Formats: sequence, C-alpha cells, structure tokens
Amino acid sequence: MFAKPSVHQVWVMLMVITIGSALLAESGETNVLITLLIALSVMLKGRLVVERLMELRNANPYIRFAMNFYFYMVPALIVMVYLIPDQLAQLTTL
Amino acid sequence: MSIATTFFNTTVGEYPPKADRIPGNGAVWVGIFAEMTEFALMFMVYFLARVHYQEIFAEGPLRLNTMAGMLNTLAMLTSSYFVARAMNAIRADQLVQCGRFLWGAVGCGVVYLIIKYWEYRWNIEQGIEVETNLFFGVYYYMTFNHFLHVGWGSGAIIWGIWRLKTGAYSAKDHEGLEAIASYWHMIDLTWIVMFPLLYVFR
Repeated sequence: MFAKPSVHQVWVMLMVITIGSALLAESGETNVLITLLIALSVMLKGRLVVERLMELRNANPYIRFAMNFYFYMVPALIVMVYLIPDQLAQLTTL
Repeated sequence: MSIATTFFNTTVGEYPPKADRIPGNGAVWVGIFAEMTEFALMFMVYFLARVHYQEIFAEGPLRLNTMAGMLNTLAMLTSSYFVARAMNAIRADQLVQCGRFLWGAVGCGVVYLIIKYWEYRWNIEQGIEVETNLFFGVYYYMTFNHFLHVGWGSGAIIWGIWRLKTGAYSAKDHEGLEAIASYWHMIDLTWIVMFPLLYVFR
C-alpha cells in the first residue's frame, strides 16, 4: 500500500486521517475501538511520511527500519496504556 | 511560470535512482536519531504519567482546543508535502519550482507558529497553565519543545532557499538540501505522535 500512491495521494490521505482523528476527539467517546483507531492513525501517518515523503522506501535498511519501528512502538504503547494501565503503573512504581 | 504551473507540472512521485542510500548525509541522521530519542523520552514520560494519573490525563484533552491542534497537524503535514515536492523539483533541475515549494513549506511553518502562539494565549484565557496539573505540564513541555524545533527548522529551510538562489544545489548535487528536508520531516513525524496523545487520546 505504501508503494503505489503518488505524493499528492499521500498528502490527501494524511489530511483525511487527521480530520478523522479530530472528529474522534470531538466525539468525546472513549472505548477500545477508538483507541485502536487512534493507534492505527499514528502508525499509518507515520509510515506514510517515513516511506513516501521522507523517501526511506529505498533507503538504507537500518535507517528505514529504525524510523518505521518508532511508528510500531508508539501505537503499541497507546493500546497498552489504555488496556492495562494499572498493571503498568504497578510495574513502574518504585 | 505561474504558481499553478509550478504546483501541477513539476515532476512528482520520483525516487532517486540509487537504492540503499542515506538521504542527505550521515551527519544529519545522527542529529535526527538524537532528536527522535529526545522526543521518545518525552513520550515515555507522557505514558508513565498517564498510567499513574489516569483521571487527569483522561480529562486533559477535553479542555484543549482540538481545532488548533488539527490545523497545526494539517500545516505540518502540508509543509512535509511541499518539502517532498521541492526535492522532486531539484532532482529534475527545476530550481524555480524547488524554491517555491520550499517557501510553501516555510509558510506552513509560520502558520504553525502563529496558531500555536494563539493557542497558548487561548489556553491562558481558559486558565490552562503549566502548573494547572501534570497533564498540562507535559503538554507545555512537549509542545513548546516542538514549537522551537519548527522555528529553527523553518530557519534551516530559509537557509536552504538562500543556498539554492546562490547556485549551490542542482539535480546532481543537492545533498545539503536533502539533509534539511530529512530534518524537517523528522519535526513533522514527532508532531504526528503528539497530536493524538495530547488532543485525541483519552
């Protein structure tokens, strides 16, 4: 999916995802589905910028991996702090 | 050549032919990874604070101005798009178009700074300050740090425009401009994380 769109299409996709996220914020709802959507939006936007706008799609594999890894870790943390906040709080209490 | 022609007729979607390359140069990537690590530490502080003060972090985003956050996100993403277009233009030796796209990116950076300044003023009117609670302390620390990055990142692009005007860049040699472009995308990427964490995620 990251190989095909043009730079214009990538920009449109980024705009749509951002406006969608803002609508989610305005809805005032909080549940697992919304949290998953937020995590997914971070991953998609991050990877679109890394792969297409930053042009790492055919760059050095270590640089590409490190930048993409960031946008797997942050969404994973978003889901984790939503699903198991008390366990994480317990783990990080001195 | 008109601005409309610049926008629609510039070569787009082209990647540099050489695979396995380091965009810009190695030095800028040391800087980029250092910055990404700095922001990662801020995000870790956010996540840690969030699990320990769940109520404060669930209520915090409701009091912020979502519209300002969204407009800033659109400005940052559009600036990244302009930078990508500028890189495509320089690779096609379209120097005038490259300069215009870079000015477009600077314009988006300035819009971002103005909106953020307005948002800080709005926050103060609503009684939202650094010491209001931990969520807003984290919010101000992260967003002001990012604000500074947008400021000097815009300065770096203006430097790139000046170098472009003095003939320093061409289709064959534009390493410096690519380094600036990579750094600017990094600034955009960190905001991509901040927007949902501070304005959307409850």
